[in-house]
Amino acid sequence: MGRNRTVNDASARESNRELSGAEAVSSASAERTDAEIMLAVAAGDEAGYTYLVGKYHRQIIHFLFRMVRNEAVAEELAQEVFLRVYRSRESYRAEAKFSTWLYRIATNLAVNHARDTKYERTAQTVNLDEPDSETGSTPEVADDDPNVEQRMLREERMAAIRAQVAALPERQRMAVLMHKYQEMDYRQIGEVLKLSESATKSLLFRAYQTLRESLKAYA
Amino acid sequence: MPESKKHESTKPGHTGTEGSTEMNCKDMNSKMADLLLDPEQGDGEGNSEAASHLAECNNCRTQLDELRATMALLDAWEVPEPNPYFLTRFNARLEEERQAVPASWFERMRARFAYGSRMSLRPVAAMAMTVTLLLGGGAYLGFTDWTQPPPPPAQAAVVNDLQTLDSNAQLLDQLESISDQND
Ligand SMILES: [Zn+2]
Repeated sequence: MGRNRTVNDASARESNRELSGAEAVSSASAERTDAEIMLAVAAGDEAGYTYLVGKYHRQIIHFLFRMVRNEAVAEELAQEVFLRVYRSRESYRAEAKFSTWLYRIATNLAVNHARDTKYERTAQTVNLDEPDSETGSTPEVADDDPNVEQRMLREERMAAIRAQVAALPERQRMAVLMHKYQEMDYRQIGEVLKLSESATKSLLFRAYQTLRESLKAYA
Repeated sequence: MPESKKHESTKPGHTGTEGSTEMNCKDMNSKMADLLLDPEQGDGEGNSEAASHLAECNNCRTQLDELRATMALLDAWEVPEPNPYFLTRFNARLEEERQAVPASWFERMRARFAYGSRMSLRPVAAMAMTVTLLLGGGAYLGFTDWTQPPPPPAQAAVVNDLQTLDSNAQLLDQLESISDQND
C-alpha cells in the first residue's frame, strides 16, 4: 500500500533532526540538512533548490491531493508552493525544519483554496455514490466479473473515507492528513498548525473519534 | 520504529477484580488519546492502571479497538502518483519566473488572477487585482508605457502566508468550539 514513501520520509526526518543541537556542528562533514541546503539556495545555489523540489514534490502533491481531492488543483497548488519557496528564499530562516515551512505554505494555500471554492463545494453536497475522482470514473467492468462486488465494496469504502475526512473541521482534517499519510510527528504537526504538542494530540483524537462514528460501517 | 504491543489488557497481575476504584471510565477518557496516539508509551508501567481498566471494561476496550480500527481503515486511501510531467511543467514555470522582469511579473499576475488558470480561482482576488491596477496605473491595458513597479518584497508572500494561517487558525478555533458545543 504505497509504503515506499515511508523510507523517504524517515530519512528526511532523520536528516532534519541533525539540525537541532550541537551535533549539527560535529556532523558538518556529513550530508547537509534540508535547512542548510535552503540557506545555500538563498545564497544562490540553484541546484540545491532543484534538489529540494525533487525531494518533496511527491509528498506535497499527495498532501494537497487529499486536501482538495482534485489532481489538477493539487498539482497547481503544489507548483505555487514551490514557487513561493523560491520567491521567498532570501527570507528563509532555519528556525523551523525546512519541511515544516513547506507544509505551512501548503496548508495555507489549501485553506485559501477551500475558502475560495466554498460555494462550489456546498452546492454539490457530499455524495458517496459519486464516481471515483481519483481513478477518473467508475471502472467499466463486465457484470459477470467475480470481483465486481468486491471492487464495488472497496470503492464505496474509499469514497466514504474521502468524504468523511473531508467533512472534518479544517484543522482536524489537516492534522489527520499530516499524521496519517505524511507521517509527521506531533511536534511538527503542531508547528505547522501553530499548536502545542498536547493540543495537537487532542485535535487529532477528536478527529479520530469523529471518524470512528462516521466510518463505523466500514471499519 | 519499534513494533508496539497492542494487548495491554492481557498483562498478567492486573486482573484487578476489585480494581474499579483505581480508575473509572471518565479517567480513561483522557488516557485514551495517549493509548491511541502513543501506543509505544501505552504499554508503559505508568499505564498499568489504564491497562487493568481496559481488561475489565468492555466499553472502553471496544472504544479503543474501534478507534484503532478506524485509524487502520484510513490506510486504504491511496492516491495517484503525481503527473510524470509535473517537474517539467514546474521547471518551465520557474524559468519564466526567473526571467521575468518586474513589469511582466505584474502582467502575469494580472493575467493569472483575471483569467485564471484551469482552476479559475479567486474571482474576488481578480477583482481586487484589477482595482489595484486601475488605481495604480490607469492605462494598464496598454502595458507599453508601464513604468516598472517596484518588485514585490521577497518575504511578503510567506509573511502573508503565516499571518493568514494565524488568522485562519483563530477563525477555525472559533468555528470548532462552536461545532463542539453543538455535538
Ligand atoms: Zn471504562
